Amino acid sequence: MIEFHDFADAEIQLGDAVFQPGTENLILVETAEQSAEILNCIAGLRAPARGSVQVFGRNPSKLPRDERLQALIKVGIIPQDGGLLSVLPVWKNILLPRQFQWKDHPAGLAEEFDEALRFCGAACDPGDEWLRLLPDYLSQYQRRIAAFLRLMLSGPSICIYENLTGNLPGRQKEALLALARRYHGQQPGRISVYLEFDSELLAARWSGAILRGISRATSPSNPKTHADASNIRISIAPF
Amino acid sequence: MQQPLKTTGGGLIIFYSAVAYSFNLRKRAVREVLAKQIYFTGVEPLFNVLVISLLVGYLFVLLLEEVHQVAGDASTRLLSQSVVMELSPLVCGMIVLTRSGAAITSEIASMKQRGEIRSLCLMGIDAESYLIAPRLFGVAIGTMLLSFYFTIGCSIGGLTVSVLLSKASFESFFDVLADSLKAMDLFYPPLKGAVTGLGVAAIACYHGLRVPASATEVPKAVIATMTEGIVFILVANALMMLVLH
Repeated sequence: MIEFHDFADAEIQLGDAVFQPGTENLILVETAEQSAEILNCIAGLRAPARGSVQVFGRNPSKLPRDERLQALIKVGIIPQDGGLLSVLPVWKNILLPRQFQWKDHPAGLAEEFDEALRFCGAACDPGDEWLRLLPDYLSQYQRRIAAFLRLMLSGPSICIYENLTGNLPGRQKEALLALARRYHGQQPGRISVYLEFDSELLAARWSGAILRGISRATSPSNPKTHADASNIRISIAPF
Repeated sequence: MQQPLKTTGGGLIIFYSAVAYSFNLRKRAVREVLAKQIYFTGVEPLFNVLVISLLVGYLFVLLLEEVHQVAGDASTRLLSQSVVMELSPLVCGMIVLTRSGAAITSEIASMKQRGEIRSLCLMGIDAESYLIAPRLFGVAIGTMLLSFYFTIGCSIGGLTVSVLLSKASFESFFDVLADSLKAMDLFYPPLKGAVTGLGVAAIACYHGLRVPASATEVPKAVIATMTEGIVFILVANALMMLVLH
């Protein structure tokens, strides 16, 4: 469960919200900086300027460093543009988080990798040539698919997608969203959070409540003003 | 005066972090970065270092014997005590600074600017374990290896001149070389090389990590690594010479 209590940071204000297990949640913000602020606070890289955020009942920014890093393994995050390391080929990027947690090559990782590729199916490029390339040679879409495969190998209880569909053509956008939703349904109780800042299309098709971040520069003078949704539970209509 | 103090403080913090998180070197992903760094620093420049060291040894003994008319045995002693013991860690430090120091700073700086260090943190991977520790220890081991090659190259270069000019035999050359070195002296160049390598890598990581967002700042960070690295190498080698002798 993710809980925001009176949450506000330098550029964004969310107020109170609770993301229950099993839900898919959309947070709409205006800029990349605002989504980065929210993501950094959820990951515990920093504390919000006001209020707090709790992940599984714990405040990530107050956890000791090693515990916070350990907790992040259960939280799969796809940063904007995939967040792949430019110095590693794609396949090494995909395996990196799993390999970092183990002393030696984790048993069964190759099978899990194949399974993840099969799960993505038609959304992935055929063949494995693209997996051997450096991320700079990939398209925006391929980078996000690679990041999605990386997230799948971690098997997280919480999936957070930062601008997953932004700057993509319509078909690729829908293919990625379909993947993320299918993956959400694979494990009961999984929480998915879509942090979007340039995807009004997604917002227009979202059937549930949307948590809209309020830009602090334009927010009312009352510092207690909250975002327009709280305690949201969202059911997703098929595209 | 402020900047050298800041770099010294930053470099020490980076060194402390690398030591504190060195237990993660047992992890496969980190070991791969360490192996790459050792290869890049200590194996890839093997040919260049051997050529440089052969020339240094050759020219040094040639200068002593031909220009200063120093006798064969004395020139061998001077070669072992000054070039092998003192110059090799210094020259290897400079080679490591220009190759690995520049590469580390620009790589880490561009990773930071592209948000890749944040991305590592979001994956539950700390930069100290994955980026800093393997680079520091990899450069230290690589510089030790380079000091070793340099010693061998200098000895062969010096031997060539001695054999050609003084008609000295292999045995007599190596006898004098062995006489002029104590057992502890064998550890001295690698030790100096390791300290020099650690310092260069810490300075390179420090400047890479503190680079601001603009792309024009990367070359500035590399220049800062170069200038402060040279000062560090000279000061560290001078201090070690004073302390260890």
